[in-house]
Amino acid sequence: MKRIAKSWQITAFVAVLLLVITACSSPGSDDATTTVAPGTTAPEEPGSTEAPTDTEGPTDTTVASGEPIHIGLIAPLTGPFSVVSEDLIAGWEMYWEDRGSTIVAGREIIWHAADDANDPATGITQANGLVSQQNVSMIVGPVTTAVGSAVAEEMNRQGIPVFTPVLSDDNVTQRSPLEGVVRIAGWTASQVTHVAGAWAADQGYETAATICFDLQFGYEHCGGFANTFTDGGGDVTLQLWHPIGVEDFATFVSQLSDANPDVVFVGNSGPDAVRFVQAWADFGLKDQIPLIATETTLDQTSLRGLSAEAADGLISVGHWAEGWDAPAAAAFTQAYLEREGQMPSYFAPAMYIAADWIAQAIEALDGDVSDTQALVDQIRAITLENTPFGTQSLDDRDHTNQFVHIRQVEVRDDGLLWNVPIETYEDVSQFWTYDPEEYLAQPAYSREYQGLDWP
Amino acid sequence: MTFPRRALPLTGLTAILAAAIALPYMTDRFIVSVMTLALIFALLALSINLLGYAGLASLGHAGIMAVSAYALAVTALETDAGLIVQALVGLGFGLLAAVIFGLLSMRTSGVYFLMATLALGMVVWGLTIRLTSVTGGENGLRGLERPSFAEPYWGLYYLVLGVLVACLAALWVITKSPFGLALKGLRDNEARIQMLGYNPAFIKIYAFALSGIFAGLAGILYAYYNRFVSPSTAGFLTSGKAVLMVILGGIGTLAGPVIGAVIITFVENVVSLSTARWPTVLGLLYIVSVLFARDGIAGLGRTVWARVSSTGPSRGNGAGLNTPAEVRRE
Repeated sequence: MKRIAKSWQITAFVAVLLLVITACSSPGSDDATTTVAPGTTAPEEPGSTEAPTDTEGPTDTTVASGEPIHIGLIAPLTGPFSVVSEDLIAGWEMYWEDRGSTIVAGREIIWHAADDANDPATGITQANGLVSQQNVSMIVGPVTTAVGSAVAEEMNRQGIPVFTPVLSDDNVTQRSPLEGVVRIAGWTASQVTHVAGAWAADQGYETAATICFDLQFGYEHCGGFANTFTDGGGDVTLQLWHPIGVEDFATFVSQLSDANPDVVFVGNSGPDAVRFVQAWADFGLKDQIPLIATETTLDQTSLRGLSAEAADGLISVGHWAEGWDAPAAAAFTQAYLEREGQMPSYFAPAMYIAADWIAQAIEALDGDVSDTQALVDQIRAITLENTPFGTQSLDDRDHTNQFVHIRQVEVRDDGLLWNVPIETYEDVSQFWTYDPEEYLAQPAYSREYQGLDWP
Repeated sequence: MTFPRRALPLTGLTAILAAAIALPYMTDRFIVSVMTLALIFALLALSINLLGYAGLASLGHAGIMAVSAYALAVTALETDAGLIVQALVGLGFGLLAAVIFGLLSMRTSGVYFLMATLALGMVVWGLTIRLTSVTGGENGLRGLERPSFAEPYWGLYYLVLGVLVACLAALWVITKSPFGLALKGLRDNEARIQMLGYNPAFIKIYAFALSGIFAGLAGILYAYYNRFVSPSTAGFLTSGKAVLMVILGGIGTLAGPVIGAVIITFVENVVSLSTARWPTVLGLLYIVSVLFARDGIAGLGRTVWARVSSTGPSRGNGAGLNTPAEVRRE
């Protein structure tokens, strides 16, 4: 018994000692205040950061006179969306390479990529890591809405702005705006599909059937189309919804065929998009019923996996068209092709423009990004001309008005498929031609509400 | 006077606890956040482990966690209820979900039990995606509040640590109790337990209910951590990850799930800063553990400890480390 008592004493002593040490100081080196001034906490020496993966900018000849500015890039580097991240990072890096230097207003720009694995909790943890360990002053990304909302809210609490050139959920800048989120070079689902519906009605189509993901993403893409198509006098006779991961589209395609509409609109992405387009061709419907696809269905991430027979000639709508002959777009596409060996999907130019936007804002602020509000205001004040997306400026809800193209897939001489615009709409807002207040008074697009009877 | 080996595990535990308490003073926000996440998952892993004592491997526990997280979120956003009521509602719904899971799977065992729980977990996932008006669909529900003392990151850490320690104590009592022995008996031989007068179905449901309380607590803390709930909480990937934490750490031990949770969470969040190949690191870890540490890391620790100490393996003491082999000998 005596021996055990002795070890109890030792145990108790150790425990008390540790507790006394901790009780005499306060925890943590930073706190959850909303006026954290990034850049004023002890930043690392330029060039000596433990940069994750190989995301440091190229070395250049200009000497940096101030401390570096750290930018966090959050994207799904692993998981089903990882192919998107490759384009995303490539587009971002291309900007800095083209610029020739990562030094802006005397401060070196250092970016750190973090993997959110398409999971909100991981996104939050990584964002916190970027802020506390890498001292980032701003976050660019993420890709999906669930992760985006979670990260944005957390970052807002710490006074870090979040720029989302890719996240396309309607309501982030409409009915459920996120504080501190600015959608530079961004787009929304219905922003582009409103155009598709209007164009389809203009073509004289009278009936349409739609098929979209059975998720918010799909409701918004199909909703945009259905809304403007019915405005133009058309009638949506059938709306199909499919879950993610459909292996065989036979039943869906046959239902569409039976409905025999004048035109079919499809809104999905990823492997499902590829499988649908393939099935559409395999079942012979490509030559029977006109198809209009949303941007992500026939984006380069899908086209790379499709055959010329299945995709050639298909119409889609999008704010990016890699075959656009505007000088900035054509130059970007060519440069990307040389660098990466494939055509750019919209993620690449979006990040390229975002980088330009941010660089110009930092330049205008003379390198002082310590005031978050000033940075965001400066971002809002910028208009970019001659970007791969065309002229870019923000509306008063922190979203970008875009050029929207009706595109057609063509086969190039080198055998690659690309989207070439056949008609272009300029300065398209997220509200189409509707009055924003009236539009927002309507419910968000959902399975039940597709704007068929409105306005 | 030699330092009694028997009491070393207790000293070790106290030292670990002291270190855990001191963590926010020694590292930064990021590491503490990762540790908080790890301990929340440790709680989920422990809840799965409880059923593991009975030889039942559940692949749907993330569904229970999600039900309680969503119940808390909906209560928080739709009603004026205070934080305590929100937590109780969350816990209540988690318990209810666990009992339903138990009722629907109690006649199965082995692989069929795995499949039944997997299916039930996915049913929860499907409901979270589909009932958009209640759950917000795949966008989830955001804007949740934490208790004010848990507002700063280190406050939440201490809350989670406190809850985890309390749950570990509770689990230690449970596994040492007659009920705990009945659970192990269920794993060893269900027919014999029945002949001894126990009702296997009742034991399973009761175990599920207890397990549901711990999973529910994990769900509530997870909702506090993210201030947000989304369907990915209920998905198979979360359930699967939690089961892997238990296996990696050591089934049928109390320390195992905690060790497994800490390792996997740290690899996911800290190793991922250095390389995009972190899933490969995890995979290699699993392979190595299956090949060389069948009883998980806790089991490995016990074997090493047994070899190192010349007095042979120490019996069940305050540490509560009991491998299945030990139990059979007792």
